[in-house]
Amino acid sequence: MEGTKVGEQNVITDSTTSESEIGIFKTVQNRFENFFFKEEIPYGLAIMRICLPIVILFTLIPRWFFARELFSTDGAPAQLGLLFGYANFFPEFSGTLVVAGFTALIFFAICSSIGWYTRFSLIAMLVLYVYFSMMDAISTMTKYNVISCHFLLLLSLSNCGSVFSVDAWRRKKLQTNPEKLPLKFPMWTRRVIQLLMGLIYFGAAITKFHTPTYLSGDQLKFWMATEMNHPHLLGNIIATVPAMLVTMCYVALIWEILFLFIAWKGWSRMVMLTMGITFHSMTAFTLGLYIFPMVSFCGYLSFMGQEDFEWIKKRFGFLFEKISQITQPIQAMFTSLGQRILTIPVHAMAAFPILLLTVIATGVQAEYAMDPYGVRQAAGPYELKPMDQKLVNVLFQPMPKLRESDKVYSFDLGRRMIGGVVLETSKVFKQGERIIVQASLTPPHGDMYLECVLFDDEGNVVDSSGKITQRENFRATFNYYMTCAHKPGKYRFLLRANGSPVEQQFITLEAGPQQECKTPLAN
Amino acid sequence: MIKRFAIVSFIAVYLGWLGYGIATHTLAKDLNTHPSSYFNVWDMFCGWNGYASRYHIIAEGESGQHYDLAPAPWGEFYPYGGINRHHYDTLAIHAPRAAANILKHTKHEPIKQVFVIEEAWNKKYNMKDWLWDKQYDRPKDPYAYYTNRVRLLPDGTVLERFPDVLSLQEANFLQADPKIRAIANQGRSFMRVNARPTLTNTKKTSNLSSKLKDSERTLTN
Repeated sequence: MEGTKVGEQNVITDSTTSESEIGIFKTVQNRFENFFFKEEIPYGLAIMRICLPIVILFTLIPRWFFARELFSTDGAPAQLGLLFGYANFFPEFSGTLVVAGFTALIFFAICSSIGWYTRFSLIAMLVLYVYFSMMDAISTMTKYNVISCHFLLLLSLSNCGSVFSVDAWRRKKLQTNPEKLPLKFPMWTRRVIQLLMGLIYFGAAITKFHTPTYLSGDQLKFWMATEMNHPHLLGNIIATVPAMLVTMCYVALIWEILFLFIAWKGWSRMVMLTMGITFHSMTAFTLGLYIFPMVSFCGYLSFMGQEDFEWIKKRFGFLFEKISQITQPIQAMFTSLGQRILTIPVHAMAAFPILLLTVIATGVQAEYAMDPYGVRQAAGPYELKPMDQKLVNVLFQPMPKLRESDKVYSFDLGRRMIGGVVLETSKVFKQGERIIVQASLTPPHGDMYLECVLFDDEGNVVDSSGKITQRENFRATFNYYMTCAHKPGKYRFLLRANGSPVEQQFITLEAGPQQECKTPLAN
Repeated sequence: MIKRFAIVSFIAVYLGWLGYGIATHTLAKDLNTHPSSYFNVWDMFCGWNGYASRYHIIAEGESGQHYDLAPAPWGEFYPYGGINRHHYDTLAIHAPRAAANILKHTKHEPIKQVFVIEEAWNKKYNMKDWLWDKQYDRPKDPYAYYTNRVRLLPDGTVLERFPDVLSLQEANFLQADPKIRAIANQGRSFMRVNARPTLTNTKKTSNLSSKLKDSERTLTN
């Protein structure tokens, strides 16, 4: 045992263990400090603060015209709390108050974007945005609202208003030592937003694990077949290529799981963010999701640090200068206006509430003049028109059982399969090839007997096979080997469900390679 | 020091709350117990079924005349694309309030009762005609199924609720087994509390009352 000195450890073994524990603790602490509290100029968050409210405004402005109907006691609000068993989770207000509040929300969104009284504007916007979203579960509240609320909360706790903002411009004008600006701040809010993005994707991956028919591509197929979100160009087309859907589903799932762990630095960050931009852009073209990708792109701005911004500025600075030159007249106008109002503290303080009240009053007056329900029309309220009795009879007719043809979604023919679905659909085949015939079913369909019959061009039955398909199955597959016994020509596959013909596909069979069709030699 | 402590506490609580949401979602425990769970559970892809649904809110006057309440006469809000707001109420929970609001702001005879009718059709009929011709070697024959979801009074008081189209059809498949039907009937009270719509055999051809305007409009408008 070594001798001890004041301040030294007592025993060799103890000294080694204690030093390593302290070493590990110090390392973790340093890493935590470096990860969350390293200081930087918050360029990424500032750009996010500019962009996110603009994206949200795309959803707010159309709703302003219907604010009374969507959110007030003089309308038909649909509180989200009701879906969870809470009848009046939030208080409901009169039409005038709601219109005033919604107008204020739009005002705060604009102020947040331009960075005027940034923190206050962001907090006010967050409170009002949460309230109004929760008041309309069926046509306002979606997951992009939720993600936006999280972003607004974290932005309001950050110093995103310290650059690229009216507040920054004012501070520069009033600062005695302007070269000290812009200031650096701990990056913890940016880190939390990054972690939030990763956890969102991870949670979304968990949801997909819980959805049994996600990886088979069926959920995506049914989603692409509707325009419940917005119209889209490619959804209907891609939904007819199930093999592509299966591949996309797997890639998206793996990407979502990995994002939280590898999207932090280096090449993996670029790969993950690029894939994210690609996926979200594809959702616009295939699912009609327009706002969700834009909100996500705003979240990706949290991955832009000070070094990244300075790298971009160095390489693309000529673009910024060009934009600055083009917008010079507008800048000069606002600078002149700003000089007069905002650089004098008293004026700046008064301008904000005066403008807020003016905007609210104008909004309420405009909405009143609009008379959304038409109750103040010259002819009085709108009159309900009686319905055509034929239409009434159709709507109230007893519901029949599902037609057999409605239980089958598609009937595909191909050469290969991937992930349980037909790859490479075709209508032309050669002798010697195997044809995979697959019926995709639409639940609910019950237990069914499916029969696939092959007819030649003269209507003769060439082959027939059937199978029982259980109620939980989404697909039934038949294999046909087109041998040399099948003459080249036109053929027809007919699918029967529970005895009723439901789908058919015509194919052309071409002559195959000659060596496949040699007759066997007798012994 | 205090500020640093507050920041670290916030980070721990916030990330802990997000982690709690993921844990409850993964284990399917305590889900949907409180509206705040909507903010930390990321179930953006809960599942989409193979049928498109639309909802008709129909008022029956004392004269026996029927009135279509939605879209409202002053115009309706299109939240996302070309589909009216009330069609997104898939659980038919908020339709009663919408109906009461429309009746409150319009002129009409005294109303006896209001119905919320669901119309559902297989999503494959949403395909554009040119794409349908490429995919299918037969003409398109869209068909919609209708069922009453809610019956209510003009002030929005709900009198009865009924299952949706797909739930009824699925129940029909299950009850097709005579053994299961017999066992289920043994447990049923002789007093019927709720009237349920009955299913009949499939009728021929289309039940459309008018032409389709586009693939996403209701099949009866």
